[in-house]
Formats: sequence, C-alpha cells, structure tokens
Amino acid sequence: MTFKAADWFLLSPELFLTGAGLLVLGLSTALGKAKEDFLAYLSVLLVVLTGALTAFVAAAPQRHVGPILSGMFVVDNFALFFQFTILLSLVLTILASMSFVGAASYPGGEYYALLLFTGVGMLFMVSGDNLISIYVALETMALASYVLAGYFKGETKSTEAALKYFILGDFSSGVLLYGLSLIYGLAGDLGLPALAKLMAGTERSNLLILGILLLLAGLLFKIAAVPFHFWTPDVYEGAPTPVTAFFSVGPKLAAYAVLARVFYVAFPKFHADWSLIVALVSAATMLWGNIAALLQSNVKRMLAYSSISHAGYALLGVLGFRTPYGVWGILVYLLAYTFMNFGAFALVIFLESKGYAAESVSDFNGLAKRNMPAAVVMLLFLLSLAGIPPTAGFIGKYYLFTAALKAGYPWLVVLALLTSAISLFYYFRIAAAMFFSEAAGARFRSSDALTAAVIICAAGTLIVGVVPEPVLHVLRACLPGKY
Amino acid sequence: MPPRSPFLAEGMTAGLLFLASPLAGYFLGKWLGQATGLGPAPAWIGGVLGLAAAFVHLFRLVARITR
Repeated sequence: MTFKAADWFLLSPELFLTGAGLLVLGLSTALGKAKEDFLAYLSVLLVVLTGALTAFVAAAPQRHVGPILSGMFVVDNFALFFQFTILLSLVLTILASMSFVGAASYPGGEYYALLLFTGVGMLFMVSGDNLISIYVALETMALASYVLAGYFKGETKSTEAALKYFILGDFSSGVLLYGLSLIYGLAGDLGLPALAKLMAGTERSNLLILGILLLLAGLLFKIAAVPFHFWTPDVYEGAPTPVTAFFSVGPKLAAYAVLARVFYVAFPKFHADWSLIVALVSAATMLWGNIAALLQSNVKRMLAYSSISHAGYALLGVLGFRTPYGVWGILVYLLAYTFMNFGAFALVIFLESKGYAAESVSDFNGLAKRNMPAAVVMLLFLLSLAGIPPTAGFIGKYYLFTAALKAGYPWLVVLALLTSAISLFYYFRIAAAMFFSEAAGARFRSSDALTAAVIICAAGTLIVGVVPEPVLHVLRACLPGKY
Repeated sequence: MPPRSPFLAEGMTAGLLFLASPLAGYFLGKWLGQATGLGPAPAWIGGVLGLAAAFVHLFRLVARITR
C-alpha cells in the first residue's frame, strides 16, 4: 500500500473528527459533569468544522484522481453527499441530547466522544472502496454504537438493549465477514473496481453467489430490513431517545451508502441473483414494518417499526441501479428521511413522562392546546413520513417509485403505495391525539438546543418538499465514481 | 468452582446454528426449486430464510438471558 501526501489531505475530515473525539474525551475527564454543556457545544463546533473541512476537500482538485490509499477509499460526490448528511445527523443528535445527558447522574462528556467516534466510522464507511476498509469502518461505527445504546447504565432496559444490539450485531458482522472471505477466496481481490473487472470475466458459481448473499445479509441487518429486523424495536425502545433518533438515521445512511456502492459497482453482473432477494426483502419490510407499527401503543416502538418500513422503501432505489433514478432516489429519500425521522423523534424528546421522553401515543394528548407550534411541526413530520406532498418525504418516494418502475418492479410500487396508505393510520393516531384529544398528555419541556434541532429538521423537510429543484440539481451529480 | 450459567450450553449452539440453519434452508429451497421447476431462486431464498431463523433464535436466547 502506498501513502501519498495528498491522500492524507483528502482524508482530513475523518482524521479531524477522530482528533475531535479524542479531545472531547480528554476534556470530559478533566472538566467533569459541571461543564457538560460546554462539551456539547464544543462537539457541535468540531462537527461543523469537520463539515467545513469536507467542503474544502470537495473543492480540491486532488480528489479527482480516483481511489486513494491504494484503492482503500474514494472521495467522490457520492461519498461527499453522505458525509455531509452524516455530519448533519451528528449535529442534530448532539443538540437533542443535551437535556438527557444533563439529567444523568454521571458525567456525560464521553457520550459526545462516542457520538463523534461513531461518526468517524460512518465517514470512513461511505468513502470505502475496498470491502475490508468498509468492514473495519463498519466495526468502528458499530462498537461505539453498542456502548451508546447502553449509555443509561442504571436502566435495565438500556443495558438489555445494548446487550441485544452487541450480540446480534457481532453475529451479523461475522456473517458479513464470512461472505467477504468467500468473495476474496474466489476473486483474489476486495477492491470494488477490481471486483467489477474480475466478475465480468467470471462464470457464475454457487460459492460466489453465497458470498454475495452473506454480504447482503450482513448489510440488511444494519439497515434493519425484514427478516433481520428483530433487534430494532427492543433496541430502539431501550436506548436513550436521542440515541434512538441517531440509530434510526445515522447508521442507516452509512449502510445504504455501502449497499448502493458495493452492489452498483462490484456486483452488477449478478443482478439477477441478488435483485430477487432485495425485491422480496423490500416487499416484506414495507409490509411487516407498517402492519406491526399499526399494533403499537408505545410511540418509540411505533417509530422503530416505521423506520423499518422506510428501510423497505429505500431498498427500491437499490433495485433501480441500471438508471440514475435508483441512486437519486436513495440520496433524496435518505436526506428527507434524516430530517423527518429525526424531527419526529425530537418531538418525542420534548414531551416528558415520568422523567423520561414520551412513551405512549397518549402522551401527545392535547399538545395542540399546550403548544401549537410543536403540534404543527410534528404534523409536518408525520405527513412527510407518510409521503404526503408538499413535503420532503413525497419527493423521496416519487424518485424511489420511479426507480422501481424503470427497473421493472411495478408490483413493488403498488405494494409501496398500499403500505404508505396503511402508514397514514398510525401516523394520524398521533395527529389525532395532538389536535382532538381532550385528555391530559405529558409535560412539555422546552430546551433551546432541542428547539434548534427541530427547526433545522422542519426547515429541511419543507425546503426539500416545496423547492426540491436546487437540492435535486446537486444530487444528480452524486453518482458513485463521479467527481 | 465458578458458578455455571444455565444458558452456557444453549449459547454454545449459536455458532453451529448459523451454519446448519442456512444450509438446511438452502437444500430445502433447492429441492423445492427442482420439484416446482422454479430454478435456483428458491435455494437462495431458503438460505436467507435459514439465516434469518438463526438470527431469530439468537435474539430469543439473548432476550431470555437478559430477563
């Protein structure tokens, strides 16, 4: 492997964020609980600086040479889009976490450091151009995530969530790694462009297909697609709510980036084998996610199943790899999803019930009377999640459904439309509780940082929905391998 | 002598299950594909479902341990 000076410059956002995490960790030891808010704002500043560094790298001509670090990473427009979105999700999570971290009895500086380390793993994942670098980055993200899930050490549910996530996540990583080993054994290389060339001259073999499907299974676990979704409701319910909000968005962004890049670049030749599995998984995920969400009264579990169903919608973009609509669909949908899903969870955090965030739909009772702006913003997020225009969710679904139609899956589009209609029922249960219920709901606790996060999410949901063309103009240039 | 976990024996089966379950699903799917003339697709679907079954078993085991 050869290291050039330019390579280190192109990886500077990731390296800077690593240093930022170490700095926050060190400062948290020195400053203790009293300066937690300072550490939170410092973390936000460091993430924003990472974003500025990423913009600087985006404008640099050095990145146009192609893969760097001997083919381990690539800084193309596709990676940059995901990196900006991941950094946005980190900022939103830190802002949403401040009141939670403050309420815990132990110092919370390490919480922000763990978030930054998770971000480092995700940034490396989305720019990975070699299966082994992707795997190492995935493990970096996953290990920090397991600890975050169990952050409330004294809470049984939180510890249980962390244990479940850790054990199941490790087994899924093992499955993924076994798939990588089969692919390497047959192909002799793990670089994505090299794999694409090798696959072009390789006959279809059962072992190779097995390796590809094991790799796919490992990634489907990370995006919580059916039938690998079982951990999601329990982990989302048990983890602290800001962490749940982050899990519903951040790791999914990184995993979808890997899914799209690996299967678009390295394995298009065996599309006939893996696309059937992806289509069936997408159908099962959309159906099961929406039907199970209908049965939930716990709002965190409901949003967990909702995020499972959204994983199913986003898989339509993976199927549409032969046209640009597939990638555009994934990009715009995930951007919209970041805003609308995080926003919905942020409103859950606003409502306090027995010292924690809102637990059940009844905690939203009468919110419109107590705080009309919050109720209206929550309604905006619910409409966007259901895909109602003129919100970002509608634009995302439009591109995904177009991709699926052009890929020759009209039955999936019909199913997606039907399941979107089903989703209206459980989203509007929350809306009905907010606007029409006379019963008392949970206490509304305000927080400037959380308000800022909600405003960012609402603005994003409206802007992408009402004036999507500027955003789409940028996203159209974000295909894998395009600079 | 350190206390033994009642779940240790069951936990040790997890690794074997991740091998046996997908293989069983694969061969069941292969037989189904040959019997119905659907080609190799049912074999791969069976393998993925077998893997999913292994994950479900592991999930239930972890849920019992944490309770």
